[in-house]
Amino acid sequence: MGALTNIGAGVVALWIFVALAAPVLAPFDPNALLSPFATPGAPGPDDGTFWLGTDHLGRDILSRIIWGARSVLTYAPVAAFCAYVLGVTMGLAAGYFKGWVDAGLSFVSNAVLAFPVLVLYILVITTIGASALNIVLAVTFASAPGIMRIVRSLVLDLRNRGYVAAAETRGEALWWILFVEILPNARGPLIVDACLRLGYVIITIGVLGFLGLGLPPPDPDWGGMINESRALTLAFPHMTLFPCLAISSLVLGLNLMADGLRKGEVRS
Amino acid sequence: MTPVLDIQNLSVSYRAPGRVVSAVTDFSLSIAPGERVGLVGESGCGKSSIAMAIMRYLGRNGLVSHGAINYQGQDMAALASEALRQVRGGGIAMVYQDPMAALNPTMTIGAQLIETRLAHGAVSKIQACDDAMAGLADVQLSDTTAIMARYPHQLSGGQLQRVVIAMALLPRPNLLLLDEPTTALDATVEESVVDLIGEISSKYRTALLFISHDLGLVESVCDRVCVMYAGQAVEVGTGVSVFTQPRHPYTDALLQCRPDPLSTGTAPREIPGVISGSHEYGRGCRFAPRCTYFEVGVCDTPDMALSARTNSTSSHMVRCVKQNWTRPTEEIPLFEHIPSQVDKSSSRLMLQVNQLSKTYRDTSLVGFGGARDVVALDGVNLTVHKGEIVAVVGESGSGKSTLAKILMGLELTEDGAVLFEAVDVGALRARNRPRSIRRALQMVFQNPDDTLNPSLRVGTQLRRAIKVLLPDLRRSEVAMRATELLDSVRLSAHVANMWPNELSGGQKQRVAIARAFAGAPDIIVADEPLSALDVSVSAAITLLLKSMQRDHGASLLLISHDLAAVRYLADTVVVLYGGKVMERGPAPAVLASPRHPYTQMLMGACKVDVPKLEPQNANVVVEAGTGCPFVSRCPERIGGLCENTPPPIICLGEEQHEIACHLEAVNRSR
Repeated sequence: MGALTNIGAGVVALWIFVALAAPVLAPFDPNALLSPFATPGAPGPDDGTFWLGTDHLGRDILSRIIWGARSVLTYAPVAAFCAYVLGVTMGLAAGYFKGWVDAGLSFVSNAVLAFPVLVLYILVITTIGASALNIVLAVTFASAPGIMRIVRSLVLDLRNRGYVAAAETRGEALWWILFVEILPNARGPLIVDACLRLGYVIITIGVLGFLGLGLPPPDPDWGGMINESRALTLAFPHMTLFPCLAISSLVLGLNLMADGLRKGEVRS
Repeated sequence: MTPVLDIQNLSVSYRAPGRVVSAVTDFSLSIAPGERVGLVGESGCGKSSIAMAIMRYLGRNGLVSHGAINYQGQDMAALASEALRQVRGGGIAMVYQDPMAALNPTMTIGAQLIETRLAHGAVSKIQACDDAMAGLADVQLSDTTAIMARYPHQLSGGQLQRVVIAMALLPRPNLLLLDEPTTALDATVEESVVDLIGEISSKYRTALLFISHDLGLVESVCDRVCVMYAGQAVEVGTGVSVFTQPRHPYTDALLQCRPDPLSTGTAPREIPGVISGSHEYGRGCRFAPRCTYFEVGVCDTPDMALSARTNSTSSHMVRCVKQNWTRPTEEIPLFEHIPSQVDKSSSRLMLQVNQLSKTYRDTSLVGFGGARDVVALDGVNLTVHKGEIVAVVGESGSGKSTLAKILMGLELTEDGAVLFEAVDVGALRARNRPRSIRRALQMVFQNPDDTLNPSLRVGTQLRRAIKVLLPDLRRSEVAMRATELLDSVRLSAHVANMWPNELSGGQKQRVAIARAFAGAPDIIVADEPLSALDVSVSAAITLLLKSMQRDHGASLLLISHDLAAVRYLADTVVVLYGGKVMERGPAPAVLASPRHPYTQMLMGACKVDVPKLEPQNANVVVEAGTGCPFVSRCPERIGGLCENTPPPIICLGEEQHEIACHLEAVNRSR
């Protein structure tokens, strides 16, 4: 593991800690309307300080970022996990059964992949409405095909191994062959992919928030914070800058971790 | 005369995290122009490291820690990059194990050959093209124009290796390094490639360094042989001298591992113990822990140099202080070859295969190069009696693996029946077969590296197999049986707690055999269980298969191209070619006096005095059912008859020895 991997893991761990300890760490109520347009470092009520300033409604930006970490680190992993459940199941079925099962699943996934992903999100969310559940659904729907293709290609190779044939000849049930004999041996590339994909999902949630399709206000959401303040960026850059830095640092941390894991994967 | 290559006191080591692993220690070898030297040893003995060190291809973690390599008097280590490039490929050429990996799949053979020629020597493109064609003709490929225009995937393995050899020879190198050049090839192809290497070396006076684990091959090609063990040369001398009068116990033991496939009754003998890792080398002889003649105070003295063999005028050198050992004459072989002597009339018929056929249809929607169905099996009949060992022999593509898959329910029959104790299971996948049949019919797979699930501990896998096949056992009984099985394949109980990647190839194959015997099976199907193993390990596994089969009273269907193992193990031999049975009969009769031209050819691949055949037209596919599948390669083909009429099955004498060949029928009618 290189230094960069450790830095990446450190950044991710820090954000997880922030999300967990949000009630303790946040100096103010994230939705309280305190003093609009305060610059970073300006004094706040009760001897407090607006370390990162406030937004146009007077909400403390630091507190909103801290609480926003909580929501992004809840919905992004849940969405990625759902995408994995669907994608892995589809990939296992396509790679193991081949034939028409593979042809059908591959066709569906190619059709989804061929659609511009942003248009897809907008279509899904505007049709079924913006809510946390719908964000998870949209991300699952859009990410599962990519995961399926990775799993399918791994399974096509793994299903020809001797230990799979041995399990078949002793009459193991299908679930045992798929989830005990095949899937654990595909875990290396999948863990790397999961790290990267989690980063993309965080970006996606940010983009959806920016487009006004994210979590319904007033709860803090990084993408939503950028969206709300974008008109004032030139006059009050701090309102946009800090949520942007939050998203970038978390995604960069995940990418560095994925890089390190991939190198470890190649070496072993 | 300056030697082409002079290696002096070479030591190679690799840096691993936290330690340095020594791969080669104090290795010296000198090769004269035109001389052919064989480097023999099992995997891990350092022979490939020597080749890599010569070419300066050692990776970032490898280093020549001591010694020098001189090519025609110049120190290889001192060469600058351009001079090194000229020597690599130009002066010293290398041929690797896998020809497919050595050629660029996106370029035609011709383009690659011409590129090689142009890279070494200022010649015109036309000249390079002519040289390339001449090179292909040199390696006895017919129709060179057509081959020049083909891509690597359009040629067979044997043809590819010939192309690679032609390519290596194009710049007329002084030395050709061959690293296991025939390991990936079929036995019959292997022999013709080896002969070719010998012929070419004499034609152009190219010196050879032939690296192989196969003693027989080295013996047939090389003038001088160097046997390696654990990074050291243990015996060096002329081929005749080393192979007929081995003076190092390791050489002797290696030779004992491979009995002559034609002599009767000799068992292969295993070498006890395993090669120790470099950190375990003690003082003195590195073979000492496994040596029969080990003597305290003599063999563990630190100074163990190569010394001339006593009472010898030739340059036969041995690294052994006790080189005057004599093999105990009264030694009892570990196992004697006692054929199972199954009386077929009284013994129970376990498995009967009737008119089994299987065709793989080309189902791709876009058929590149034309969709073509491949006939894997065509009307195969086979019986296995209780306690009998049946060997199915044939080259790759003969349908032997398909046969195994159908028996095991991994593939389905298309036509014909697989009767297991009178129940037809040919159309049932393993999952759909009754558990009693799954328990009774188990398999040992070819590749030890993928026979065990790397994510589960050895013990977990064994216990799972027992639990699934014998569901009535209680938990404690399952655990006990797992320990017993490990013991019966001579592995200690702590192996159960190990992960598969902590085991050697031989140990993995032992676990796989234990797993196959988990449910006390009646028939074991073993698909090439020895082909991926080292010589000494293969001997040990052969003996183990035999003893397990005997102790458990199981029948064994052995699929193999290793005729030495077949000779030792089998009661009955079935020879398969192109999905059809060519010859079948009792093992001694078939192997000692093969009657079918194909069997004769297979036997010829391991014995020199039978006329050799060129498998030039191996790609000619005979339509199923129209004639003998072997017709394109048969030296005794009867024109007009063999191509069109399926050969009759003729019984030879009373021994249930039969062949499918027109020749016999025509001879008889005369």
